[in-house]
Amino acid sequence: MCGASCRATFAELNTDEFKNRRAEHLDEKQPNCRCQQRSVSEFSTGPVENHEKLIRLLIAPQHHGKNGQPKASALTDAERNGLSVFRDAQVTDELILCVASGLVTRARERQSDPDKKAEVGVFGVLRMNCSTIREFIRNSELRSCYCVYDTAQTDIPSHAETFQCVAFVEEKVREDRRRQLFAIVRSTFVSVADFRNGLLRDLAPKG
Amino acid sequence: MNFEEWRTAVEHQPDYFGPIGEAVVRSMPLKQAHVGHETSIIRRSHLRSDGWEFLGYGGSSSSISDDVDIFVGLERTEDRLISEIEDFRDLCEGWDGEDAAKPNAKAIEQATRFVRAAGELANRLEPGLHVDGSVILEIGNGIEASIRFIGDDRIIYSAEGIMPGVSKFDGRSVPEVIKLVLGT
Repeated sequence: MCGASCRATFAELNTDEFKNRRAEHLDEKQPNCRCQQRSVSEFSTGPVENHEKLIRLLIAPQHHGKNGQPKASALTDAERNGLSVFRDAQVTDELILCVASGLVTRARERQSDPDKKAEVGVFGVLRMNCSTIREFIRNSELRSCYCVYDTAQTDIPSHAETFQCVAFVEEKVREDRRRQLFAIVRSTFVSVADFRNGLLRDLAPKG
Repeated sequence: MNFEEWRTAVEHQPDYFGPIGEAVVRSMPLKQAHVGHETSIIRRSHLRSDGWEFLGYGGSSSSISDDVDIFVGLERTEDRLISEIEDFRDLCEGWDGEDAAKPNAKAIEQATRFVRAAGELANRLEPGLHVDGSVILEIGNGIEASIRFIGDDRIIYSAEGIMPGVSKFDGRSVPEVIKLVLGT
């Protein structure tokens, strides 16, 4: 397996052909996370190391419970397009604020009920260990279920993504993996007030 | 009070449309409220090609305080949950700020029917969304259990201590395996 092939696969993922099924195509072309130890982006400083912390912004009210804590459904992007995360050691406050502002603005625009717009906002983050994600193996399976890649972008060099290995995997298994992984990573939740000294406090839900 | 009197007392606006075209009305007859009881009347009709066919009335009652204001309609445990699921219809593509699909209308309808059918069994469920637009009902923030509606008459389930699986859902009754998932 050479780096060029991995990069070619990731270049394909960003075409319209694979929109909304990036996770599936990736796992078909590069099964068993086999590109994981290589850099897949020319804008990256290198592959994501196991010891790194990864930050997932939590915005959608549909992804937190009445207790204010996130729900397993917050991880569903990993089964479809890839779950975007920041590499904690590399990302600046300014970049987090800029990206989070864009996401919140868009999410509020996509809510047609004006009363509900105020419920949209950053309610916290998951600050997960990369190794926890990579080493997660669901009961009764033999291989890792999630991969992490350094999908840096020109304007977001600290961008990375995690994907569930979904090719030829039944929906019930995907569901079970998500539930079990979330049971492990839920303790990494940091509320918006506590994250980087309240950096994103102004983007918190107002409802 | 006989059923004819009740008929004149209740609101005839259906509270919801049940499976196969049933219109279900649950209302409290106003005359009964003053004597310390609230009564739920269920008027069942079936939608035929030539209009609504009246099937009959059913009812149940429970004690309430005489001090309680008169009201029409009973709040059921599952009403709030259904309302939250129905709110998903207001979301457009990109509701998560990224590329999430617009919530699937069929999945919303099936989740709603499920909650109606589950009644009290649904009281621990919280509604959520998969970014593909399917509806997820979760227990314990999705750690204890989740059931997912993708809009094709199936329920995908995962729960602690139970093998994950897929169950058919007829829109009316809660499958036995899902009762286990719900912890009953």
